Amino acid sequence: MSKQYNNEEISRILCQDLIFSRTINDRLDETYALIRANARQIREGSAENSHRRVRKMGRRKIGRRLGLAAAVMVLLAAASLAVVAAGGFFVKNSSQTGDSMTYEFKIDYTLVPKKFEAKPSYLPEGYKEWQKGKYEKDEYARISIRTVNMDLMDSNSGEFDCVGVESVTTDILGGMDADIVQLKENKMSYHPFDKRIYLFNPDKGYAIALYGTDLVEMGELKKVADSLIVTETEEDISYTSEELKKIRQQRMEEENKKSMAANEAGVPADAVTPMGEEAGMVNAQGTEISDGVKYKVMEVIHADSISELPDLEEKYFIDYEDNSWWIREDGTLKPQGRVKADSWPLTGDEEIEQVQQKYLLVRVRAKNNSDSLKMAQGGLFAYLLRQEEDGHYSFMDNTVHKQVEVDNIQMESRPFYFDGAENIEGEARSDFYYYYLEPGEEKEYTLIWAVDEDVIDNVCLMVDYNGMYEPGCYDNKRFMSIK
Amino acid sequence: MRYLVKRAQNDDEEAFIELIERSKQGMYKVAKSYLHCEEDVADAMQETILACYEKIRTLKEPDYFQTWMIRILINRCKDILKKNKELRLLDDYPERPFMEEMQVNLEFEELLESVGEKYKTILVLYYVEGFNTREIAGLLDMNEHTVKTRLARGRDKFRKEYMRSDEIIKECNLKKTGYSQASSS
Repeated sequence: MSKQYNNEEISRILCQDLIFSRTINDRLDETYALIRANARQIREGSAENSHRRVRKMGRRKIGRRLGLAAAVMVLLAAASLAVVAAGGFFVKNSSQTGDSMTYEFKIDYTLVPKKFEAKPSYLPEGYKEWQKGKYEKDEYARISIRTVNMDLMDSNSGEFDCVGVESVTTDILGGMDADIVQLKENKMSYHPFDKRIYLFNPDKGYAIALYGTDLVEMGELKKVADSLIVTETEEDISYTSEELKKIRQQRMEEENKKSMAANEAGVPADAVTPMGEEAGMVNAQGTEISDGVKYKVMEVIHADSISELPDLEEKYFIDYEDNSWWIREDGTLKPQGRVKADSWPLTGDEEIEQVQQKYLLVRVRAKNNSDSLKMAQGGLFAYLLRQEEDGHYSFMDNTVHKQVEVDNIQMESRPFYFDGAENIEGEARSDFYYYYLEPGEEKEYTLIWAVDEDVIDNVCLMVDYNGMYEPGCYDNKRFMSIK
Repeated sequence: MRYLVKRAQNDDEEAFIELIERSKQGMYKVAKSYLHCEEDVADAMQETILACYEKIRTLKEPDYFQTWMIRILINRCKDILKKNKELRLLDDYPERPFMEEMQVNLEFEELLESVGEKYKTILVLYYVEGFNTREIAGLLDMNEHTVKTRLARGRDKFRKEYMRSDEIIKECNLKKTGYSQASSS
């Protein structure tokens, strides 16, 4: 008799958690360490490590990318030291300059380290493990515990570095030297991890980093640190070879060069369709998908007040309750907070300027030129481009829109109003911007954005499904001019 | 997850890392549907994570983080496939053999391989990542009808392979006990 299999069984096999190989786990650890090191680099804006600025500020993407390369170079340089430590796997050197803490480790490569794992035997009331090494009471009150074995310490000493340090004290916790770090208040982050405890065990060859959010009391975090159970496994640790380090560094530098070149190039003139002409989506190579939907800008209106616009219906706002908060009684838009990237990297102390916004209304016509049903995109993306003398466009993403703890009326680039929306009831609203056109069918609709009044003339619309756009990288996208 | 995305966009790197920790199983499976070599999968995942880290502020709707990230990962996997010969590097990391805990991986990999290149990524995106056919069409630059057809055919092939492997196991077990029985179709 035939056995019947159903979707549950297929789902079981595909959905069960897989075991990651050491290659994968090591790479993930390395990646996280690079990210932490880069975040540190960005926060402290360390000039000595910087090729990070070879151009004017404002390129967030480049800043991060170069910062990553710089971080890797610093980390690799640190790792190349091969000093015999007296009676231990490593010697720790830490230093504090202003509100920055940095750590260096001199490692005895002649000793073969083991892998260690740390787990808490004490947790504050209400905390539970939700993932390996991560404990939470709720989404804001969180503790993370990370065992830093020798291979990670070797390749990513920046793991422990931190900026914005308010105070550092030392203690003995769990029988190990402990650095207890309290970071300053971070106005730019909501419930950040502002507490750290580092435990160092050079005799056995590991360190442990504990992180706590601002809702975790330091005293409780100390208790957790003091009660850790550290287990030595049978697994030996291998250090990354110098050859592999160089290869990875080279690869990172090549990627950076590629990104910088793309940023310099901007958007070519022929990638921006003049107003009144049709534009369609493009594939990854930048070739327009001929068998698809074409869009055309029919009309553009700038307005100070909603009263200057045609009557709008609540159901066509992406989120009327949220959006209406931004609209004053006189119909004008509230200003939004903006931090200029001239002050990059952001420290959280920057002045937030209030910038007046205008309504940007665009009438669009979409047409399905194919002979089959097609999905179309109502949520065209509004980006800022500046046309240069030779006709190409430069990226203008030089500000960070930030209204502390309050979102903008739109998520910056998609319209907050789309009266062509068909998915407007219940859960279907998650597909708010998508609709279908029959073969040959045309549809006209209104899109509305809120745009800072001083850059409204620089808006171009990008035709894409998901708005995967790197500020600073053209990436073969197609734009439509609206002037 | 929306909250984590917003925190990550506000320069909270630990929030970003948490996002990745929550997503890494799905990332691994999607990458494995394209790439065979663990080093290539590791490359694809690392490059994707770093790209997401750099670009997360450009993500305008936090709810779309998963779609956005998977799209980047798929593009990275395709790049690696194209450049595989140039980027394959010698590595002195020995791959340690795994014990019984890897059986789950073998089951996953063998069955995925059995359904063929055209189907496996679609199956992973559908079952593992939970995307609908429209979203998968967008991610893979395909017509939605094609996605639906391949999903149905992939499931069908999957069932047949699963049934066959299950019957082979049964046959082996029966032989071990000294009995034999003709397999039923």
